[in-house]
Amino acid sequence: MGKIKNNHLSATALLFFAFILSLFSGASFLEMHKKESIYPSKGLSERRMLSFYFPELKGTPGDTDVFLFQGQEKGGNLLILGGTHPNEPAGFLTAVVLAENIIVSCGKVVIVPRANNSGFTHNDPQEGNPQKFFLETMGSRRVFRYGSRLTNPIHQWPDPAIYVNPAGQKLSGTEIRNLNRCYPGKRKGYLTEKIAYGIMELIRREKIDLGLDLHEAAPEYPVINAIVFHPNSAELAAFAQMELQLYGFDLRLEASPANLRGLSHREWGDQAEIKAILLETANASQGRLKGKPSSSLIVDGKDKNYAKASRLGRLFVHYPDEGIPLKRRVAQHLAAVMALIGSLEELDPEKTIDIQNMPPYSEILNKGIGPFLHHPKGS
Amino acid sequence: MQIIYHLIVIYLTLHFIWYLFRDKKFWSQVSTAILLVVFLLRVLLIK
Repeated sequence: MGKIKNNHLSATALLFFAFILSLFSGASFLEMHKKESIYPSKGLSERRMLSFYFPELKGTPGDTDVFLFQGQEKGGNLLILGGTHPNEPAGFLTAVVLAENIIVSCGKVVIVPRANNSGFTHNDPQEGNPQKFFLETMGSRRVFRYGSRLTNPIHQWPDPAIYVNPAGQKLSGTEIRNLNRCYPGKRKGYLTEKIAYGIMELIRREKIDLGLDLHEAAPEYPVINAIVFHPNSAELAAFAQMELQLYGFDLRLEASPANLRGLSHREWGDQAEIKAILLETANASQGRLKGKPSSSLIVDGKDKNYAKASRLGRLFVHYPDEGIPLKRRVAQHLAAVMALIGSLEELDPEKTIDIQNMPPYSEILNKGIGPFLHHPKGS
Repeated sequence: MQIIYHLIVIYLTLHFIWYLFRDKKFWSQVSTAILLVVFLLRVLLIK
């Protein structure tokens, strides 16, 4: 019997070590594939999946929850999209807070909290971002995933060198996994294009009048604290901006550029002919100047690098030493939703949307988001 | 497309295992093993 070489012994031991390490890291990564629960309010009329509108999504990682709140009286129909970019938590959480609280008495509200469900199942590589962040509710704790801007590459592969999106715009290859570059979507396209197509089908079949896509941006990004509007929604956006100034939120108006195609605020308006608005708040955790990425950076938004950059006048938003916490970003989104609903009613009284139990932005600012989230079941 | 992805990743994973056993330097084997972790996660479509 031949003598076993030393390097074979070490190779066997290291192979075993690699398997054990994959087991532990795999379990941690698999945790991200588990959806956090959302506990809709008693005003919920129906809970569907996006595949209801586009059956090809059924069973895929792109299928996602759709919450319908139908009022007794006829009025306007509103779509609220959170989680288009799962690394922009204020958009996702605003949708969750709304789904867990509102009761609609007039009109219809459709909420999709995790628009790109696949993006929630992973993080951006080499960013060191946390997989989760935590929020204290009254006496318990809710855990939410912090995902990636893009669809998970294990769900959609490969990326082309140059991506020509369904609207004909040439973009860099990775944008093929960015939901907000894939509108109006494709029936037989890549997964992200199919999700976009499913959302367009939802807009058509639910006869949506106003679509809101909730986002965040890095503080150094020029389009920030902004209402980005389709040209058909200019008046609506201007009315809402004035109302938001009364609430103490200074948002700028940005018209959707005619030659920037594939984005919600362009294609929803052009292809589905609805009023389309995209909202942005300032999120340090997705910026390039941030310090150590952590759950508290996401929730508290405190970052000395951004505070310094702000003092030096290098940012497009004032970034104070005390940070811009998640509760302020969610409150700003909620205030904007309220202002836009009010402006829609003012411009077209037939499109009234009356929402009861809407979490007031002032209370979110004072008490935080926790009191407006349900307890995890079983806690 | 997923089959092609799997075939490429399995091919590379087997190559890493092959080189792990062929390599004589211990620290080269350690770096191969660390790289192997990422590829094992890819084979299993986890990350």
